[in-house]
Order: sequence, then C-alpha cells, then structure tokens
Amino acid sequence: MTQLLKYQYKNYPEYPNLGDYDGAKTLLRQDYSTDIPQLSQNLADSPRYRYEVYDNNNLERPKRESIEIDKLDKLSSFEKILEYVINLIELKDNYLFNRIRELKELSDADEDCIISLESLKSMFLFVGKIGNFSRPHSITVSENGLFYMEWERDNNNSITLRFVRDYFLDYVIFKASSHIKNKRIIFNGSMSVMDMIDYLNDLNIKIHRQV
Amino acid sequence: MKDIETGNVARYCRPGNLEDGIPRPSAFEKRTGEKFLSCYWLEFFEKESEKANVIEVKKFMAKSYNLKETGSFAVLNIKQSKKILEEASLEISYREKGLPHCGIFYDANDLLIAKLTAESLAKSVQNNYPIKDLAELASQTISQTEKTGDSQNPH
Repeated sequence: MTQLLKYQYKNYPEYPNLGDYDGAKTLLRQDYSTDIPQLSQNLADSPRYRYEVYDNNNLERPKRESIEIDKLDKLSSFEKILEYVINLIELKDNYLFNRIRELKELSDADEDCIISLESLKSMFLFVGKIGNFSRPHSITVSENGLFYMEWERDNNNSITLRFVRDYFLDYVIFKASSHIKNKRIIFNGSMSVMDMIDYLNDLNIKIHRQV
Repeated sequence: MKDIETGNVARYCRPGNLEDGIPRPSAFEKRTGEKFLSCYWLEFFEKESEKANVIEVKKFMAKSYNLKETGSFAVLNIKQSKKILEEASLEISYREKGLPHCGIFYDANDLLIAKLTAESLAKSVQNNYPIKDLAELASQTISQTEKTGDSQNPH
C-alpha cells in the first residue's frame, strides 16, 4: 500500500493524502475495476507493486521478511529473483536495482556475455544479509557474467567482491596499516557470503554505514 | 611464445565492465578456460600517437568481434603495470599470441591482479579511450584527408 500510495501521490494529485485509505480504495476500484482481494493477488504477482492492507490507526509497519537461501534456490529467472528481493532489501535510493537492470540490458545486448543467475543470487544474499549499506563505488559484470561490487574510500581502504555460485565470493580487501604510514595490508581469498559478513565485522570494516 | 618487455597494450572493456565510463576490475577477468588475459600490442601499428594506434586496434578487432559503442579501450603500459604488481609481490608477463594479439599471463589470484590492474589504470585516466570518441576521431581524420585531397585537386 505504501508504494501504491506513493504512485498515487505522483500520478493522482486528487488524492494528496498518503494516509487516505478510503481514497486509495476508491482509486483502486476506479482504475482497475476489480475487487480489492483480486487486485491484491494481481499486485502480489506484479514485480512493481506490493499491496499491504493495514489499519490506518495503527502506524506500526509490517516486519520485513528476511532473504532466504531456500527461496532464492527455487528462482530460475532474472525477473523472479529481482521480484523476490526487491521488497526485502531496504535501500536509501534506487541505485542498486537500477544499476542491476542496466547491467542486465547491457548483457542482453551483448551476445558474448550472459549474466550468471547464481552470481546474482550470491550478491543479493550478501546485500540482503548485511543490511543498510552505503552506496558501492561500482557494480559491474565480467565477461563471464559474474557480478562485482566495490567500495573504495581511498587507495589504502577498499573492498572488492566478486560473487560466484553456491553463495560464495572472491574478495580483495585493502586496509591501511595501523603501524606503517601509507602502507596497506592486502587480504584476498574466497569464502561464503555469510562468512564474509562475519569477516568484515572481525576486521571492523563497516560498509553497512555511511563512511 | 616470445615475451614483450616494452610498449603498451590495449584491452577492450565491455560496457558492463565500466562504471561512469571507467574500467573496473571486472574488465580484467580471464575468460573461463583461458590461461591469459587477451590484449593488443599498440606499437605493432607504428602510428604517430597512442590514440591512432588504439584506432588501429579497434579496426583490427572489428573484423571478427562485435565491439560496442559504449565500451572502451584501456591502455596499459607494460613496464609500469609489471612494476605495480611487483610491489605487491606478484608477477605477470606479456607474451606474443600472434601479433598484434598478445596475452597477459599470471598464476596469482586473478581478482587481486584485476583489482591492481584497474587501480593502475585509474591512476592514469588518460589511458582510457571510449569507443564512441574513437569513432568520432576516425571520422574527423577521414574528413580532414578528404579536405586535403580536395584542396590539392582543383576539380
């Protein structure tokens, strides 16, 4: 409902009150000529909208579902994966999903590059589990279809992740030496996405907050 | 395979390898099953400038490869890139693979090599040539040649 009302606010100024549930119901009936329950199902099937009915007097938001490997495993197309995660990952802006769609379009236009859905799932598991993170410096896709993410503060502080299958990733971390000026420590290797989240915490590297 | 010790190589970077037009580490990932990173030795073409050599690489690659207008060519200096990697105790070699084609060979962690290579490129951003700009330059060169030809020919 929240997203729907935002859409309504933008496109239907006659219902300016975002909390106007009755107005929204009227709008839905008028525009879709259908009963609410059926519309609810239609919207649930749509990748763009999420339909949630809540009591206007109770402003507590419904709790977000956490991203789950079992559910990711069952998804077999780019759109289905995106549809599943888009409501589970809370972000400050649309950069991540816009960029991923852009990369998909670039890949579709390039016959030699096919996006790896396994890599995409690994990336979403990482992003979904780490929580609210700062915007990456870059998100790209290699010729082999693997997703890369980079966070970079300066030459001596950066994280580069390459997402592979089975919820694993390859990593290169540059961390400034605490003892030698202008020297960096290089960590690199491969591990599971979940272990990487622990590892970043162990190294006291916080990408899930604004640097 | 003969080693190449000096000069510069150009590597084609796909649009998906770029963020804000700059090649990122994904541009330097070896293709699955390949033992080297494919690139082209610029000095082979013996043109007057680096950019002119890159245009020749573009022409050469375009014969058998579908280059995207939104892609770019990253130019790496052989000596400098080897030096940067040596500082991290990593060794790479540039070898002929039927010139102008050549390969960057290494045994180390490929993500680390890719990251350091992209980093060395980022330090010298002038060595990144968007294909769109190359097309404009090539057409300018052609029109200049035509103009010169016209002025020499009174008819």
